[in-house]
Amino acid sequence: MITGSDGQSRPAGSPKKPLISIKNVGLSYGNFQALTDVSVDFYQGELVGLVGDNGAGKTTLIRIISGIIPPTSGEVYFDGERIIKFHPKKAIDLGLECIQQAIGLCDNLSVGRNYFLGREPVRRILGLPFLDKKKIREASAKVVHDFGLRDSVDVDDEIALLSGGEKQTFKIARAVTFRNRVIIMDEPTNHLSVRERTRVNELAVQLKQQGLLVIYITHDIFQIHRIADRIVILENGRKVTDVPRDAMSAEALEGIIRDGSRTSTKEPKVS
Amino acid sequence: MRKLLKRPDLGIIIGCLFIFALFTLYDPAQWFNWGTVSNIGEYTAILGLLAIGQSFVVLIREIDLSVGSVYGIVGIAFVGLENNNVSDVLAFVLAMLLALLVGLVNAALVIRGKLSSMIVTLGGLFFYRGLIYIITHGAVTGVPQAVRQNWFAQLLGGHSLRIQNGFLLLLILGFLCAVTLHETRFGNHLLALGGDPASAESRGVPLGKVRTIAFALCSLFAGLSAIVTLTNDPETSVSLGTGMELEAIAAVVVGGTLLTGGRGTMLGTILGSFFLTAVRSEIIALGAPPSWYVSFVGIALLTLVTINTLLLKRLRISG
Amino acid sequence: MKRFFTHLWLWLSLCLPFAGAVFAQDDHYRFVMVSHVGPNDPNMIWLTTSMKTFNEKYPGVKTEYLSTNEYSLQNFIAILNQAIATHPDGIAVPILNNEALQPILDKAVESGIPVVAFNIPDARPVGERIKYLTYVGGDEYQTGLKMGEFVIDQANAGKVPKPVKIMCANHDAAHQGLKARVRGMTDAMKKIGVPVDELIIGSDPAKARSIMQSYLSTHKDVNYLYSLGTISCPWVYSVADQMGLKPKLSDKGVTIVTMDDSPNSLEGIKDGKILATHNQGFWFQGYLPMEILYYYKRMGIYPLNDVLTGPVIINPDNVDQYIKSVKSIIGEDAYKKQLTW
Repeated sequence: MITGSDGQSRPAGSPKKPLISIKNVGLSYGNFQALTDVSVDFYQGELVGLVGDNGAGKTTLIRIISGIIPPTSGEVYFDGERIIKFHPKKAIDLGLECIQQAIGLCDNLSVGRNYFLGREPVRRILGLPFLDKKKIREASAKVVHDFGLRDSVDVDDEIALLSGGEKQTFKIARAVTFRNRVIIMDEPTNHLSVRERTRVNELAVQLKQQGLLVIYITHDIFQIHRIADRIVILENGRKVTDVPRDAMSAEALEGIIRDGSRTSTKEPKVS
Repeated sequence: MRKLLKRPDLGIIIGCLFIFALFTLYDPAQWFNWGTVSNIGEYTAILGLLAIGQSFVVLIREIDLSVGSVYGIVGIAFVGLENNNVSDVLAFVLAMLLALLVGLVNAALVIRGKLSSMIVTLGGLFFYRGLIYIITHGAVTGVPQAVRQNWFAQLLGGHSLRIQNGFLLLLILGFLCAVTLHETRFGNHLLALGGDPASAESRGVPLGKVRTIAFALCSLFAGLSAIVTLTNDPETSVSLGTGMELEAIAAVVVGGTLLTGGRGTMLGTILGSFFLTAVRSEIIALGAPPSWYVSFVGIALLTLVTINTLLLKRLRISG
Repeated sequence: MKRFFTHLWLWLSLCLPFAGAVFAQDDHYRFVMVSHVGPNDPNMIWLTTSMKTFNEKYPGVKTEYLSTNEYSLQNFIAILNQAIATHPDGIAVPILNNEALQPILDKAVESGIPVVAFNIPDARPVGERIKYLTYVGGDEYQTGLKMGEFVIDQANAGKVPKPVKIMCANHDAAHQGLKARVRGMTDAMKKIGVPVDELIIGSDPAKARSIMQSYLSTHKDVNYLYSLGTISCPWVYSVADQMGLKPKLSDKGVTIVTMDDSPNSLEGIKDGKILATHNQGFWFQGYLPMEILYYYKRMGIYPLNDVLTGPVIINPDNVDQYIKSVKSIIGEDAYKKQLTW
């Protein structure tokens, strides 16, 4: 394993200063230790695969990063600044967006309204703010076009009419065009067809190439190994592996995940 | 055309056209009688104002069962203040502040107390009605004759060109609420919250604020409706508003707003109020056995809700 | 016969108070009236005031008035059970529901607590009905019947129009008493072949007005409006007035009759807006049950027949007397406050 002096690997040529830095973070719910002493840095322009079995702590870590829950110990830095108050709005303001499978789009709203939800453009008529529907329509139509959604998609249609892959693509498109710096994708390809999956993965790589930090959560090591720069494996709330993609094969990484479960503390109870 | 077919209020638009045609053919003399028109208009205004407020709450997947009692207590506060020589404008402001307070309490209990709005407002239904009994000892005076002649009471309860001002108020406020719902950020947030609260929150929609405003608007409209009623027809009683919460919810649902939130229009709500009022009035007028009309209104309601549901399904299938 | 017993009892009750002082010294009874007439009901003060009068005459007896705040059978049963648990020397109670109250009251009677029913009787015949001593109160059917007969008398005398069709405005569809009033009115009108309609108007004033307006707009032959409760009588009048049906008392237009001796009903008669109302003797309903319990405990006697305390029809000829007595009981201020005309 190729690691830095602090036990973490870095992609070659990346700037020294991490965009997000997690230092010795722990989180416990009562007696249950969800995360234990996790330290990991994320850099700009990087696509990091965050891998692990169910219950490994991936989602918990992401919930801390996106400000939904504060850690019970340790520190989180964003762009060098320590985060004291954890709040989803703050994460959004810092340019961090989490794309989840089940949430992010309101099925009853049009494509255009979903695109601008939470940051609706307004124009003033007689000094009163009204939705700028023209802008909503034009801007969202451009995105729909740029990201290669069906031509038949009308931005005035309810978003419920889009397929699962289209919705995922749309969410990513929305995250990108609002000049975010960090995109977290939480199991973005679940329930998608093969072709849609490929499309989403291509987008993840494009985002990274545009200089964004992409944190890609999955338990499919083979899929992520093809596109990630670095793989971080969590196991029972601890970081067990943090390596550049080229340093290990997908098979070897899969072995770590498998063995990790075998040597886990759950084992004695089972046998 | 495609747009029209997708409207959530399509069912009620058809329903209203249907009863309009039916009553025109069947009983034109009664239907186009000014007495009938003004009777239906008057009650549509009262019910419509209540139902508009209720729409905001139903659109965010909540329900407000307290509006009947709030209608009662705000109306009785208004009358009580006027009988204690408070000027009509000040009495109006104070009564509306009471309505606002009730709305804020409902919202706080739902949001901070994490209680179901059905439970909170059911409690409100009994609490405010009980409060009416305690305050009034069972007897309520009407709006004083002198006050009713004042410009302010006339503004709310009088007539313009023979049309009830209350009805004009319903149209104006209905239009403003429709604009708010569909053309403003608040409206977009309200619909988003009703459609998918988790997604709305993930986009930074301030859920607490939107919920609070919805409950406040609901109570304010209930109070306004009561004051419009009393400035028009002064006789009142401790039973003021009894059962009105169910009528308001019925009007909202008939109007095509989904109880599951996120879909609905103010036009639908106003037409829903008109539909219920007109059907009841005509059924009674046409000579249905007087103690049976309640069931007939129930049948009309069920029919329309069924049509709404079928339209919605058809819409989903056709994509 | 029934009438005879009733009169006998009323006569006795007027004489016996003078004898009351003789017994008062050594008898310390405690009687409880458990009631559904709560503080929100203007009639409560009649019951409590007449019980106070009873107390003044029989200072050795302690009387208690317990009531629910709202019409709730469950709450009522709860306080009734509480009252029985304190082992009073007698209970007065309205029979809100035969089935629900039978086991409770029969058990109380068996344990030696005498019961007098007031305001609402158990309508079943003696032997089947709950084992209370007697009933003191009005009779809802008689109330409707007497009102109908009064209307016919007045019409025959040429003071008011002959009834053509009657609408009964019912503000509470679930209230059995109101239904009985309608039956009474219907039976009275049957004699002269006049149809009677019952219209459910609900208890919200705006809705009630709207419903009546719809009904009256097509049922143009209706010329008598019977408001089944004092609550709806100002609404009935205002609808008729606004529709130009001339409800003001005369030999033309519609005529309104109502119920109860509330300030609204009484002043309505005084103003010529209403032909008649009724009094069901609430004062007696508070006073007599206490006295019956007293003499039952003291001497073992009680009236074998029910004591009907009403209806007495109030009309323009005798209204002044009632206005005076109502004011003396509830006070001038409360009288004015309850006026909603």
